[in-house]
Amino acid sequence: MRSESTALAKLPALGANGPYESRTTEIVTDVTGKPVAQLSLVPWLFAQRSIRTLRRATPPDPARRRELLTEAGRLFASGTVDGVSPEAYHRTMAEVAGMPISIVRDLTGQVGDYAAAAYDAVHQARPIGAADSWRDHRTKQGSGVWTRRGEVLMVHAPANSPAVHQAWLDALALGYRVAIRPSQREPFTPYRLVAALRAVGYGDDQVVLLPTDHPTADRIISEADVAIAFGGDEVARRYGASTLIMPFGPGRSKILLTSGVDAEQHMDTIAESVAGHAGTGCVNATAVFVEGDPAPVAEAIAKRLGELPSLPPGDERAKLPVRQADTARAVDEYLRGKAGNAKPLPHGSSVVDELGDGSAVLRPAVFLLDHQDAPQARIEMGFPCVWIVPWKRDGDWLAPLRGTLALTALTDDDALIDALVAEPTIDKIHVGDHATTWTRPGLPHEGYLGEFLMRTKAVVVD
Amino acid sequence: MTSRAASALDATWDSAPDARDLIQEAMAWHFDKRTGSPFWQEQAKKLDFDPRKDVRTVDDLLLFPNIVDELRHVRIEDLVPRGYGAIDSLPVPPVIGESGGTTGAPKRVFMLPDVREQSWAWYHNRLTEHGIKDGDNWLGVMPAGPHMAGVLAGDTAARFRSIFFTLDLDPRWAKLVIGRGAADELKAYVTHIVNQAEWILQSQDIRVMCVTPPILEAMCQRDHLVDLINEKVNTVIYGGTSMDPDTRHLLRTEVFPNVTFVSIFGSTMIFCAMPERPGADPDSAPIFDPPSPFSVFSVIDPETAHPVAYGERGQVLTHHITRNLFLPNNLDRDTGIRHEHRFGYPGDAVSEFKPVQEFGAAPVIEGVY
Repeated sequence: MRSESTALAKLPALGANGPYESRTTEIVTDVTGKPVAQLSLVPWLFAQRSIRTLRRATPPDPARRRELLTEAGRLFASGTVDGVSPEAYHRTMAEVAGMPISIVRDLTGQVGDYAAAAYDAVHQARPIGAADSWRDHRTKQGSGVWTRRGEVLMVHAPANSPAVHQAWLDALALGYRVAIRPSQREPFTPYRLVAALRAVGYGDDQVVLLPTDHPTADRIISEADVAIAFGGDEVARRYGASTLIMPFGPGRSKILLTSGVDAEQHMDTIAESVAGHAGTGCVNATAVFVEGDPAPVAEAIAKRLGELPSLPPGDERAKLPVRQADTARAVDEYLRGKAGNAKPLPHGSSVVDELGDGSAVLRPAVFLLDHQDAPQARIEMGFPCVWIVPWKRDGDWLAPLRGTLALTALTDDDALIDALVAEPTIDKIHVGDHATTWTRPGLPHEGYLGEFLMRTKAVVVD
Repeated sequence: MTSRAASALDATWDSAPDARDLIQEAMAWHFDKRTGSPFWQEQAKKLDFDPRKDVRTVDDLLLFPNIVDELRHVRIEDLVPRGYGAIDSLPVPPVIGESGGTTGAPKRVFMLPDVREQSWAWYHNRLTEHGIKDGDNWLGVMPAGPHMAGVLAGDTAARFRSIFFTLDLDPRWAKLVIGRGAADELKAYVTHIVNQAEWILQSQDIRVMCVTPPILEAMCQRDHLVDLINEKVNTVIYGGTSMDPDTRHLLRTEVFPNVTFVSIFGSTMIFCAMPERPGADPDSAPIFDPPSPFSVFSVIDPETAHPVAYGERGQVLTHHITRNLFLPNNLDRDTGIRHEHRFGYPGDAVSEFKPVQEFGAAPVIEGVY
């Protein structure tokens, strides 16, 4: 037996006066259950005082923000941050989050690139009638000026994808000071990003990392001016009422195949939508609506996704998410309980494929439903899980397509596209071979974040 | 009265009698038809042992069933020992105290002047060990009403010859609101409390402040109030809920660097409140030494009923033995770390009280986050 004598890596909080090691800590484990790091959990008082310090601080000027973000993105993606190389970070991230390492590399690279684009991307949201500053010549005649709705943004970050951290880079670009409460399951990405920002010259009083337990996390939200909270329906319900909190709820992204479209021709798009980035995102498709017979489409999708190998997250060929085995079994049990009369493909399959080291791959789940209003089609899971549903254009045919983050419509029916684009509860429409996961900097996600973070006021200067 | 004064039951809590003497005299008092309460007389019928013969030591107290749940509905008249005489002939009627009331109907107890004097004098003497001075004005941001804590604070201030300023805090309402998840309502209530405290702090020369940790934290949201406290207050006495060690450290070192912090552990079921052990390392968790043998802690393994090793966590078992009340063998919801009593008294001292955690499989969360 090899003795595990190496001390655990310490992950301090990054407070407004520098790193902070607390007495109350939490052990972060990898998917095999092995301890990886000791995370400092800050008490409410510490978080509250940090947020007050942020509110009093002045942000760098816009040009400097753009410069620092670009530099920090580069450092985050390819430099050594706090003594940790990109390779070591990718490995830790893969092993802890259970995300395949090639996907980790891809997504963290995206985050790094996005930092450079954030300043320009976020300005896509500025109304054309609004100037960026009161110093703009347009205010001589009177003009709208784009201003922050507050000074401090609080982010409740999830663990499902490193890409979620792009959101608060937008806020930094706008001059907000930002407090991130990381997921206790995956604090490594925001830690590295905040440390990189500080390394290139962002002040300690501009951006802080405040790991807390759950009750504290709920309490500190109200200390900030504006907040973003990721979560399921529960979070959306709990915070939905407050105008200052933007909840990112479930994505329930979908694909629509209209009659005459050959699914086989679009199988790359469909597979990428369901299982791209290991199927852990809100932009991954949870349902495929088929006009015509859905059974052959379901079989083709099951066959295609069934080819994905079961491998540990550190393996270069891995494509599927991995969890601790008991978590994976609980997920399987939950899903079976919810699936009801849905037909699993292949028949009787379990989503759990144990790797023998305490972890298990979550294999793709494909279910066939028999009518378009089946409630199961709204069940979204943190791994590739898709409901194949028959769809007809009678009655309220739009109903099952509502409440959707990204909708990929494989159709050439312009009237249908008109209706989809007009539908207020669908956030993104991709027509043709663009997977639900497709995006580029400068596009809205659930609308532009800038619409939430900023407002426009009238200014005239003589 | 000479026989009463000679009894271990009437000793001051600072001159701890021998536990065996106390227990035997308590058995003689509480289980004699002429002196015991109607409640214990009724209970005694169900016992398969004779307390007056078979109970002599602290360990023998384990023979008793835990009766504290009966205190949720028993009439107070039935709890008062007959030896005090008829209720309407008492010099002062019983003062009623209730437990938190978080887990259903509250448990209800009483006190008469003899035990009130014993318990309160002991508390006062412990506070003097923390440097609290006569004549320093007190502010009690404390529950009044059924919780003994407010009465104790007011009485103790008087014992220090101090003016006691107070407001009314209703912890049961706060807990109800928290349970309902009504964050806005809780905030409004806390603001209402902090406003009242601020008015007193602004105009009065407050030196000693009794407060709960959540209210103290809420006070820290107002910079001018933090300044005011730093300017006026020399001691913060806090209790009611626990305070995590990181918050305690921050308060002592950063927020209120010149204020002495005294943590209090109190419980209705042991009928006393105890300030933390004085002179301890400021960075270690506060340790609480009960007034044994009147109120005794044992930190045990609930499976074996044996004490855990010193420094280990176990479930806290309490006994309370006075002329007023006999509340033996109460296995509390709290766990704590076992320590030796600072004066070598029977039973244990305890640090880091925490509710017994209920373990279970974490529920599956639907969704990607």
